Amino acid sequence: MNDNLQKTVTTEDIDSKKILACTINLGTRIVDELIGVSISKPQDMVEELPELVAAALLSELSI
Amino acid sequence: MLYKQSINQANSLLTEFQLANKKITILPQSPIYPIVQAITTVNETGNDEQLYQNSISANIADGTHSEIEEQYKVKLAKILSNIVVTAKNVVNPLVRDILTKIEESRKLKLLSIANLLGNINIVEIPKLLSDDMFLQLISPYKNTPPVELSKYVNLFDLINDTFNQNEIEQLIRTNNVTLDNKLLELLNNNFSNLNFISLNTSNQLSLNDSVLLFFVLQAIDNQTNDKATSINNVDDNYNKVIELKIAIAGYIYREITAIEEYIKDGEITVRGSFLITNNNSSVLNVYGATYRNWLQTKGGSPEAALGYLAKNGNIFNYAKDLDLRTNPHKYLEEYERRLNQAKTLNTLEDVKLTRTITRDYLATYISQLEDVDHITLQNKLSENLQREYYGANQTTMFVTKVVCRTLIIGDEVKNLLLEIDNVLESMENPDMDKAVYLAIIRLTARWLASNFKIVPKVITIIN
Repeated sequence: MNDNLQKTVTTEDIDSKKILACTINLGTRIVDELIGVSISKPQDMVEELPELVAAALLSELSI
Repeated sequence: MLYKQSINQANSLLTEFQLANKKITILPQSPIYPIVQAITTVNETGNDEQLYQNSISANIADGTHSEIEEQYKVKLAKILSNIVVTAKNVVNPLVRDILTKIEESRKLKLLSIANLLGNINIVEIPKLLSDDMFLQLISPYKNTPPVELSKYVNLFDLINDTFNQNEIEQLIRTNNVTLDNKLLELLNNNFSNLNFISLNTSNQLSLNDSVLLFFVLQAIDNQTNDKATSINNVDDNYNKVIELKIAIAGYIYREITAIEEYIKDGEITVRGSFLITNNNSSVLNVYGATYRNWLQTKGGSPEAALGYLAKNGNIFNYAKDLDLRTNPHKYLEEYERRLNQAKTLNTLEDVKLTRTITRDYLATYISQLEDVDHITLQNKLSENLQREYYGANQTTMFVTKVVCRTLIIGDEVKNLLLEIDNVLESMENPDMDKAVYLAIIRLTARWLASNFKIVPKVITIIN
């Protein structure tokens, strides 16, 4: 995060960050729970799961 | 406990929210709400390490963040797991079966573009027809009047019965290597049934049969071998052989001369049946030389030729051929019109067969189910078939929706299967495991996103 952005962090941002972190975490753990039970993790899937969850979440949110 | 990677990813997403000047709020009734509430609000700078530490320590009476998160994780993962199992074991096999039957029916009932508008057969003039030696052989008979070939059917039968293919090949040799090579090339390229001379539907002989018959009759006349002599010695045959030989020679000569004139005049479509080896009504036979010249210098195109075939059929007509030569654009428009017509007909047929196969397959499937209300399910099937839109290239979506809405309660299984299909379509090298994995992530993200409200934020600068 650059300096300008640091200066504009608000309490609303902090709350948003907490919500996002908890959501990504929950999504990651849910999918993790299914791996090996109902789905398999593709061999060549190099991306980390939280990154994939975050990307999917971003595409679902209209911002 | 929050994964540090989750916090890192939250930072990336937060940047997007800041750039859009928006904030995220969570609905109090959502299952994520208590999970978020279980973490003490972090300090003013939103320090990552403090957020991580706070997620470890207990904050509320109900338990730590990890404990509350675990409860919801297990609950939601179980629901998702049931969706995946139903999709995998119940719906997907049905959808795949129906799609296979639709594909099989399409192969039988839908026509390819080539079949819809026909084909062009490029006819090249065989080298034999311009061979000096051959022309010398037949030119003495050029003024022989035509004969009724059907009078000679018995002689054709006798020749066909007497000689096998190898004997015919030996019989027609002239001992002139150049001529024999051209003769064999003609017969090998165009003749699949060498020992059978037959009249076509208009009681005429093709080029191949005419040339073959001429050389066979020549051999019989010359009594080249015992079999030829035996035919020649039968009463009446001698006169018939001579009569037919000169009639055939005259016929070939006149055809060659006429074809030369047609080509010189620039005619494109082939006249009569002398040169034609493919007389199918969906095939337009064209002279190679004039057709290529028309393509290269007169604005012609294969599409215009097919437009001509669609409009006029493959029977030669001088005025129509001239029109094709001088107005190719007119026939190109005709081609486009017929193509669109044909595509529309194909699409209508496709819609019909897709609906029929889906209906028949599921109706049978429902009738075999036990412990269900068959009438209710059959009614649901009819309603869904009417309700679901089916457009081009949407077969999988249509079938999946009808199967799920008829047999499965809720939309989750349908959403998962359509998501898998979307992911597969977006992949350069489709991989089912990867598609299921990514579809589950997307479906999970969609669920999670439904708990949020995104609103504009009022900027407050913190000094």
